[in-house]
Amino acid sequence: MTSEAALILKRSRTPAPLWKKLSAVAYGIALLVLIVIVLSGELWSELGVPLVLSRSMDGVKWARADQSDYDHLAAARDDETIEKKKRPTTVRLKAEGREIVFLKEASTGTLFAKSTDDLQALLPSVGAIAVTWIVTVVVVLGAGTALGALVLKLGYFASGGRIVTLFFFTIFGLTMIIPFVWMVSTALKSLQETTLTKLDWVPWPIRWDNFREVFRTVPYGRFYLNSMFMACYVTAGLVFTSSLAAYSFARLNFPGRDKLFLAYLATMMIPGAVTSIPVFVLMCKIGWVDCYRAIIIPGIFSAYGTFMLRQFFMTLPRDLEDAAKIDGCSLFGIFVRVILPLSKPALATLTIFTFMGSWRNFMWPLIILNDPKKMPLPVGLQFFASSQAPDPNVLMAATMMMIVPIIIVFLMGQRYFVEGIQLGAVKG
Amino acid sequence: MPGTKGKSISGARIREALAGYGFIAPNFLGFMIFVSLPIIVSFYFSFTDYKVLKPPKWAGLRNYKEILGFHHEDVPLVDLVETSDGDIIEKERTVQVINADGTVTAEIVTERKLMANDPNFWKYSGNTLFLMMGIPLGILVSLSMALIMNQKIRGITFWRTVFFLPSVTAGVAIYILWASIYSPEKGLLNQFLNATLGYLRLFPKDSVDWPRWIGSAWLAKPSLILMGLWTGAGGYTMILYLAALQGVDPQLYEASMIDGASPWQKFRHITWPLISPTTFFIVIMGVIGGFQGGFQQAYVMTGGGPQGATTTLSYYIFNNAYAWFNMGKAAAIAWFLFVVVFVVTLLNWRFGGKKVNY
Repeated sequence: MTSEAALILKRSRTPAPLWKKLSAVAYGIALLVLIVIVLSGELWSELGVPLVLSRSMDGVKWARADQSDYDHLAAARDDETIEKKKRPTTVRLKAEGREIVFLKEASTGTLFAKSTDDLQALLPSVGAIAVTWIVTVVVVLGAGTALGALVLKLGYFASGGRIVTLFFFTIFGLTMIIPFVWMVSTALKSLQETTLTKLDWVPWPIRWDNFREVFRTVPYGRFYLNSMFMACYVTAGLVFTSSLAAYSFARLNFPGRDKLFLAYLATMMIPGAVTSIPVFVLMCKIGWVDCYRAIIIPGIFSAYGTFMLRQFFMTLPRDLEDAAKIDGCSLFGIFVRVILPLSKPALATLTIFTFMGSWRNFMWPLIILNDPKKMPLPVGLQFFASSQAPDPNVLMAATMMMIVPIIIVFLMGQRYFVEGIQLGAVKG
Repeated sequence: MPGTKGKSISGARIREALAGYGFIAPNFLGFMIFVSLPIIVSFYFSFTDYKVLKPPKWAGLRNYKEILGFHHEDVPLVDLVETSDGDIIEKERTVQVINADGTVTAEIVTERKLMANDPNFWKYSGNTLFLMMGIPLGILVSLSMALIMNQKIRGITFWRTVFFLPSVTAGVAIYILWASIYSPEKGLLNQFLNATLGYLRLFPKDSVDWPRWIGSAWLAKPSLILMGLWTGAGGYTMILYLAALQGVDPQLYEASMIDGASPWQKFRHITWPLISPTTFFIVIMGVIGGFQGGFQQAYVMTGGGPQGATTTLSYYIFNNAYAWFNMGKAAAIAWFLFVVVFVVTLLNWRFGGKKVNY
């Protein structure tokens, strides 16, 4: 390095001004506050409850307990006595081999607990919560920031960073995949294996019967058919109506066109909750409750689809259309023969997203349908989980049957999928 | 031939206009029936008392007062008192009052407290706001992953697929899977923590009351946020950031290296401002979605959460409308939600838009 370059570098590395240091401190404090808020949990919804983990009363240390701890033990209790010695009122519960005294502080309503057997036995449970949550939050926040900085150091200098990058990829990748692996592993276990407290990845012997159990309890195949059938109709209808309307907004002039389009845009921000109530009442009045029609027909209209296609159509060059017009083609003919073939990527994206959206549609079918035989897959799966009280391995088998096909389809068509998102992001 | 020219233009115009209306017709029909009219009708419902079986009855601002209003209530003060049998009961505090005519009566002491008409509403609003904390966390994680993924390594497509997998499968199945993972005794998370943290001898293995995650009043919401991060980290937002990062001119980095900029400075002064349009977009969409979200998690995983800890406004609207058939109140809450989303988006647009550099 020449002396000039060294001088330039040295001059530019001046110490950071005071306000920058202060802002760094401020960021650090803000991060700490965020962690505290997340830890305290109830701070948002129950303002005024003090953040207290333990308290000393009469020389004895009491740990803060969850109401759910109390309920959990009270449900399993052997013996319950209310100590009447003095205020405050305490409840002594004996359950699961332990004896714990609960106390409710009258002024704030906070629940405390101490164990008469082993004073330490209760505190670790609160400590365990705190420690595991701190660990989780720090891992999430810290790793995210640290990784970004580290990669900047390595990635842009492109030296020896490959191995470290691969290491981080593996960690992230494992985090993404492990729940699915566990799902498959649990789906193939017998019930005894699921109750083991050890972490056991390999089920042996493999119990394929779990899948048959699912089909015996609910019409799962029917759920599939319903989802498929409704998704096809909705996608076909939506793409058809949206593309027609988008062509009209993009190319044709008629009075009120721009105002109407603005109205379409405005409705994109309306929460679904606002419109679903009157539409439900309408369905009740015309007797379409518990019908496929009630799900398909409202799904055919979409402001998003119209908006996206209109933006896309406006980017198409007009030359081809003008040429077709000179040749005497009707407007509908231009639409079919010129515009549609040119819009294949946008139409493909819209088809994929609509199909997936219809497949995932949960709230509206839940509201409208009563008959399990008409339920689409998400509603059916939830119905199975809540009303049939399945064993965990059977439940995981059912979940697996919903997730695995989606993964397979995604793996086959992922190129179009990702391109579609980028298309939407760039154009929109 | 000027006269004929004028006539044919207007004829063509009329035909074009008719075609325009014709092309729009099916879409417009859906727009009117399923969007425009319902908006007006639900606005009307919010001012009525509508239980579905009976026709709606006009009630004015009663629904809005019920959710947003406060009132004063005389709450009696209560003491714990020991009775003669040895029981401890709650007894109202009384005071001896000497009346005008000389008799003495006991009157209950009350306290004048300001109470919300519907305290649950405020609690659920707080829940909704809390759950939106997932947005900045999600941006952090997605951006980090995008930064790492922004390299030309062989097999990057494989990793992109792996990271995208959770967000593709998102939906009820994922929520049921995570409800199972968060299960206290048999769930993956507690087993994992037991195996790893217990191994580190932080506390005795197998002997500790492991946290009940979504069953615990104060861990439920953070657990939902964590699950949301897993589902969304490698998905849509990461792809958006990847596209944005690839649009940054590498010459800017080279120029900064000549000036001796540290990697952190490079990030803060080059990368972050240039991807700010994407961040802006993600924040706006996240806020709009966040206010309306949380329904599926609440319905499928927690049923509203331990003592209403995971109920969001959209779940509250659902319950009011379809479980308790209180359509008027549900419509009022929905319209309140819409106004909040609208105002927040507007504010975001005006103030956030200034920070966006192109």
